[in-house]
Amino acid sequence: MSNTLRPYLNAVRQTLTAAMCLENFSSQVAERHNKPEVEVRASKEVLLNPVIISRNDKERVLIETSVNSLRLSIAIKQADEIERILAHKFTRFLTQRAESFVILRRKPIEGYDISFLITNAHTEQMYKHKLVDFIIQFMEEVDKEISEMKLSLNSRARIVSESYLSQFN
Amino acid sequence: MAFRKIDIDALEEDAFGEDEIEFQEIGELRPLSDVEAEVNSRAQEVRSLLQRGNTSGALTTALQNPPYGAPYHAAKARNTQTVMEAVISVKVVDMAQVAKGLSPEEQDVLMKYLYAGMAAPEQYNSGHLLSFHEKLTEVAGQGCIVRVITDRRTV
Repeated sequence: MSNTLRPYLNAVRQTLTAAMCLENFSSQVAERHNKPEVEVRASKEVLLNPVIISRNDKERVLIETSVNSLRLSIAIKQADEIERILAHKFTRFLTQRAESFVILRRKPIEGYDISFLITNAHTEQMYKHKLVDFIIQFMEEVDKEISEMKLSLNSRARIVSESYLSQFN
Repeated sequence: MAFRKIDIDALEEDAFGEDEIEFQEIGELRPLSDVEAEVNSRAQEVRSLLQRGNTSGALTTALQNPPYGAPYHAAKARNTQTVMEAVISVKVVDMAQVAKGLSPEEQDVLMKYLYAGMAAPEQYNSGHLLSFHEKLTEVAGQGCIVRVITDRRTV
């Protein structure tokens, strides 16, 4: 199971590097406007084919690109109820601070847990390969963080329940 | 502006619609029965090649003449199944060799089918597809992925 992690992250890295070819493109619908076309979806000809990379049916990445923007949505592995709650709180913590994050989208796409929006302005200000490195590192860290949180939650619950119930011994 | 009910841009004469884009890329669409017959006969061929153990031949046959075009949903799903059968049969150690043996067009078509397969992880083994994706990218380069994303002729 864990031996699919390396190919999964490699596939996401290669696809992301290939898809992150963004250039400035003004809106064709409203003059003097410049909008991320992957969000507006007004002109069909500037949108490219969306692509899904999946490791299993629980973990998927959706990459939608257009001429000037790219949207990446990640579905995090959530095995049980506790992990679902933890993932929800973790993503909420991040998305509430989306302004400082710059490339984060406040609302995830339907069916996914967290989404990034990268525009040509971001690729002009930041290095493309560093953006890709960041996303891959993010995907690795999220899983680690959630299992860490789950472990600490369980051990704390055990300590608390032991010390509380010991008084009834 | 929200009260406007008619999408005037779509009704404009010069509007560049989906079917125009398709026509530019694919040309005249063949009748549905022809396409379905071709897909079915190809499925039979691939299965017989797999039974004989010729995995690379089966894969090359499966990748010929994919059914591009909007009306061919059933044929596309059937063809994806055929290609996946051929892909699953290729062992991990043979993948690099098989990928090198394909022509550039066949590599692009294979990459399209790998992504189509990964879009349905309940049906197809994503781990296997991921290993194949890695080997194919090593052989064909990132240009292959760019062609999949930009080519209007899907699956």
